[in-house]
Amino acid sequence: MGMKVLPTEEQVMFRDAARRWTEQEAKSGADKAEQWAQFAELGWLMVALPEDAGGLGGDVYDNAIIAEELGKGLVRAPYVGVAVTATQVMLALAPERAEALASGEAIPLLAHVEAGQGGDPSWVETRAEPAGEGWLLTGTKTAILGAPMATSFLVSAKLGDKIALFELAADAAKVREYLLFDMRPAGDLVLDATPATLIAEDALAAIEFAIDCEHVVESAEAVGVMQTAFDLTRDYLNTRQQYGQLIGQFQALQHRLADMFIELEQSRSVVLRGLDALVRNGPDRSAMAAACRVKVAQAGHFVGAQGIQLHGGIGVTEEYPVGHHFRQLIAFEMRHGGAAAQVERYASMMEL
Amino acid sequence: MTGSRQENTVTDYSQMSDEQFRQDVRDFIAANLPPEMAARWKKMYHPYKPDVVFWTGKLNERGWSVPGWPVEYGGPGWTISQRHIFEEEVFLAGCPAISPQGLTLVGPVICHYGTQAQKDFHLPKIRSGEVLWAQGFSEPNAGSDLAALQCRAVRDGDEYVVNGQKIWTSEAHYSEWVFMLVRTSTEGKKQAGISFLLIDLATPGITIRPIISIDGGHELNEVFFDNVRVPAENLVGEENMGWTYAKELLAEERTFSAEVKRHKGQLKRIKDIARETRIRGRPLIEDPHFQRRLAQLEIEVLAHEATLWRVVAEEEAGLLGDVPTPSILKVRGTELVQRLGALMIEALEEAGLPYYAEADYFLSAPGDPPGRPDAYGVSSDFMFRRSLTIYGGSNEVQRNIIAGTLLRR
Repeated sequence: MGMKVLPTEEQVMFRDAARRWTEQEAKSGADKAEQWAQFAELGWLMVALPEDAGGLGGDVYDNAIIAEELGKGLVRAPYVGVAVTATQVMLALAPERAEALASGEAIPLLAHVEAGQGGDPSWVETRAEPAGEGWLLTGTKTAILGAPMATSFLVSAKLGDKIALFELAADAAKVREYLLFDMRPAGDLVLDATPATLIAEDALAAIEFAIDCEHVVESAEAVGVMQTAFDLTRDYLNTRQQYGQLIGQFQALQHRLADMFIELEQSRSVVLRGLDALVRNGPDRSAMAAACRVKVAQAGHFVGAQGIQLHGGIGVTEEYPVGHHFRQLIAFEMRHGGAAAQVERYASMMEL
Repeated sequence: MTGSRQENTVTDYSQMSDEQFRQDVRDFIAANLPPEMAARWKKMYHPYKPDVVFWTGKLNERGWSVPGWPVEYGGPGWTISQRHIFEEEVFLAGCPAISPQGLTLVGPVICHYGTQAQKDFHLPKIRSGEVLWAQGFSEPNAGSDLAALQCRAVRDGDEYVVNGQKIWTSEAHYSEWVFMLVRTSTEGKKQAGISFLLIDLATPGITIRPIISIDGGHELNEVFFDNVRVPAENLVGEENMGWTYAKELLAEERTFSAEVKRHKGQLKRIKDIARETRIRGRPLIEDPHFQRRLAQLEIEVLAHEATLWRVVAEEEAGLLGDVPTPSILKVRGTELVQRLGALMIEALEEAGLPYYAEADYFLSAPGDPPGRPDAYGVSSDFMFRRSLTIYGGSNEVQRNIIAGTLLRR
């Protein structure tokens, strides 16, 4: 017990602002650069920064509240990647540079995941070699969400027996851009003796903390994605008629909707538990972050899939939104090695 | 070598062992299926018409293009087991799928209820692949409740005038004909006023609009009918009897919605992918956690396939009880496809995340792929297969049928 459940007054204000923004954004479809400037203006990029670093002195709870609202509208800009993951890495390793993120002028993204990592952040094959005053990196980083809008990449690489962190300006990087199947822009960073600047020689602990934060706040975002899928489905059961009655009057569908709601509620709760573990930063932090990702990913798969199922044919069309929510929930499930890999990760950390 | 082998009418398949039959099918595929076509179809994506037409023609030369039809209409006279062996072999080898609307839906109906003129005109064109068919059953307000359909056909002299809309019409955009359930009467029970009508899609007044599905592909359509004049001779059987014909045609195919062939293809593809994926230096296929999840699904497929075999044997022996077999096979078969699809994307790790537009990879692999070549089509297929538990009578409707049968006793 003792887990924080209720938002503060300030957090309620953030939530309401983020909700309004997302609802309007769904109608306006402003371009990416403009969106990012608005994120900065609304203070969303600095919520988790301490006041002496130019921030609002909040924490990842604030990020999660905003991310959930953005998730409801499937906002594609890499809010979590910048305002959570990159921000936490910078706070730990180069706090003097965190302010540039908060203002929106710097958009760094952590380039850490590699094929074969299987959700274990300590597994890195990219390597760094000294070259004169600087460093050369070789390896491939994959599935970097939002890569096309990054101004720089924070790249992990093996340096001796440590995992170090380097920075590479986006215009000096070879990025293979693509869309994920949920239509979010992403990319792979291809490094072939590519020059980069050293940020820290021993960065693994900071990276692990940042990725734990990412697990939990992306889970909050996924709860928002699920919430909309659920809302659409409930509305549909209350509107669609077959056999001369609302389909919501069929008990089989009522039970399915109830199961979806139970999964949604479990997810919402486990996110609070994950946030609590992040703030306490105790020995169970990484296990709780993995547990959070697993639970929300599995719930999301169920809620998204049943959202489509209860809509019938219209659910599998590009024209209708419930399928878009399913796609983003599946992408969430697959990131960081996939939910099954995160179960194994939890198993390796749990008390026996 | 194949065009000359026209002895199918004298081949007595009932005397052939299953092993010998399977070998015959394999030999035929090896001699006739172009490798690039096989590679395309092993991606299990939407059908590609030129391949369908080519392969239907090849099968027709051998007398194999309409496996379920009566022998007098060109069927090969296979046992039900042989039909399943054939389906599995052609699917796993990557043969293009024969368009099911002509083969398994309208074809048998014309065989049973069509006029001689309808048989003479339509059946050869289905057998050869010259004409592809679409199915006009569902409407926006008649999905699970199909009998609520409202697309009207009003008799006017020697013609019917058709007005209304059909939806989820697979392959309509490249089909030549559509078979329709239309409302010809509003008297009595709603099932009683439905007729079965054949319509040439080139008839004036028909508009076909694409429906893009969540995988980005185009297989589904909406079809609109605005005062479409159809010769009355295109009515199948009697007016207002269409519902009965449609129900019977579905019963004919009672064991062919089991999807066992697709499960086997998926299991193989999952294993191929898991051999390539290396997690922290070790092939995923060697990971005991992964093996356990794979084994669990393989066991499910074994039980499902055994159910199919049992039902086929009983059907061949004429021992059809009132067990709702098609519904059982459909529910379990379609849900297994979805679960196997989920394991397949899991086996790709992050390499399963990129989107491959159909145009980028369908006809040939992209020159500069964002991910692994073996990932093409996996996530798209996973997305599109959500439709399996919806179409052909949703799984909720199937469970109602199962429970209804059980509780009536």
